[in-house]
Amino acid sequence: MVAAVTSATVARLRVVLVLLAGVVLQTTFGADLRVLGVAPDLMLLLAVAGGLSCGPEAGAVIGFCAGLLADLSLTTTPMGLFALSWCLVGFVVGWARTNFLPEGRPVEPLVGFVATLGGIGVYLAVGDLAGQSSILTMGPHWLLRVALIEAGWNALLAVPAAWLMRRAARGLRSADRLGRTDALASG
Amino acid sequence: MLVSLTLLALDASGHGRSAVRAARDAFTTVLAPVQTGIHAALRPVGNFITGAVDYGQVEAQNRHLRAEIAGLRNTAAAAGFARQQADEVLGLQHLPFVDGIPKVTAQVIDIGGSNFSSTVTVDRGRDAGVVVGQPVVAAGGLAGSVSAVTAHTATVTLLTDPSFVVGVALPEHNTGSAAGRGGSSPMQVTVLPTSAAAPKLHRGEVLFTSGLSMEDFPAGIPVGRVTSVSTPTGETEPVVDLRPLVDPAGLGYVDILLWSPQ
Repeated sequence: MVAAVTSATVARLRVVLVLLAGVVLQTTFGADLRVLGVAPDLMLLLAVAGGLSCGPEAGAVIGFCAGLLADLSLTTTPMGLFALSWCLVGFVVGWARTNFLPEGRPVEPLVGFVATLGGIGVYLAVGDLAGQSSILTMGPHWLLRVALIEAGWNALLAVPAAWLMRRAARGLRSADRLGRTDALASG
Repeated sequence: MLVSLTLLALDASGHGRSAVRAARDAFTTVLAPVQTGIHAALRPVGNFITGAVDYGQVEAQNRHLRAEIAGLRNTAAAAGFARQQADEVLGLQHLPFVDGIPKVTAQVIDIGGSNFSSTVTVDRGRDAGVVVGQPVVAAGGLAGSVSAVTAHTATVTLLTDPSFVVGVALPEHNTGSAAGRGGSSPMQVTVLPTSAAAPKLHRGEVLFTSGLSMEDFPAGIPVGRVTSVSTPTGETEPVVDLRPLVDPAGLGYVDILLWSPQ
């Protein structure tokens, strides 16, 4: 029992470290990786990876923490906007992963792509509800460009991100349960 | 989800906003030294990747810059006279932009990583007298305003950010507001309705801050150049696109004006 608690605590600490490394990379290196003026969103990527590796509940918590760190590092958007949006992304990806997504790496880039498009849609909708309608004044061309390039980045980085999150979350009950189910399914 | 909604509600309320600002300041204070080091170390890698992906664009930009340099050499001789005239005009009007507002020069140490906001972090903060709301200028004109401050750094919201609005002076005694639209989009000017005749604006015209009372910026700071003017059918006020004179993507150093509205 004590060993299980310790292992879960260590896993949580590892996940927190991954998220902290993510926000540092996002606010430094991420801004330099702009393609056509669009930077990757590593915190959204980690929310997707959280859902893929740990299922809906833990995915939602990881998504919330990833979003909260993004909120803390920004000044022009209301606090909680990214936390709420990425929390939903983590939950939905985790739910899909638990219920119908096949296990294995080939599906992860596709999940990264689709979940990023969906996540940006959620962010814009929640932002509009939270009074951030000015984001929509950026125009459909820019928003579409952001969505597609971010989704492309996240599709590219989904496999390493999910691998990293699986390694970090090893010891969390939800991640271990998902891993065992995968092992059983693959025989 | 409940925690997120609570945070959103807190940020929207007056008391909560100061707590949120304090949390953000603390986070940025802790992160700033790490950011500076990592950014300096990894920037060449990022520039290499971005340069490789945007190679065609970089080449075109290079050609454009060469042509521009040639043009500038030709006009350099005339610049002295123009400068003399400009100095006279500015001196007569005592424009605060050039008339002795104390300023702090700061280096841009980080470019914001979000695609939905346009910000930069600079290496001067509260200890240099910087406070939230102060105007920020760069070579050419207005760059933005300070939106967050820590002890040694400040976050500048650039004029292209969708939340950024600045009052501009328009011809025929009109005023308007220029708002950022994010990304590389030009700003959009909305003419404030008055009894004065509608302003006649022309492509290429430079607009300056109006500096009206309660404005967040002193008068006379160049904001941008008009790139298009059109009047939609049935409307009396024109729709004006304004390209900022400062290139937000190429900021290296900025001046923070230690100025606040009277």
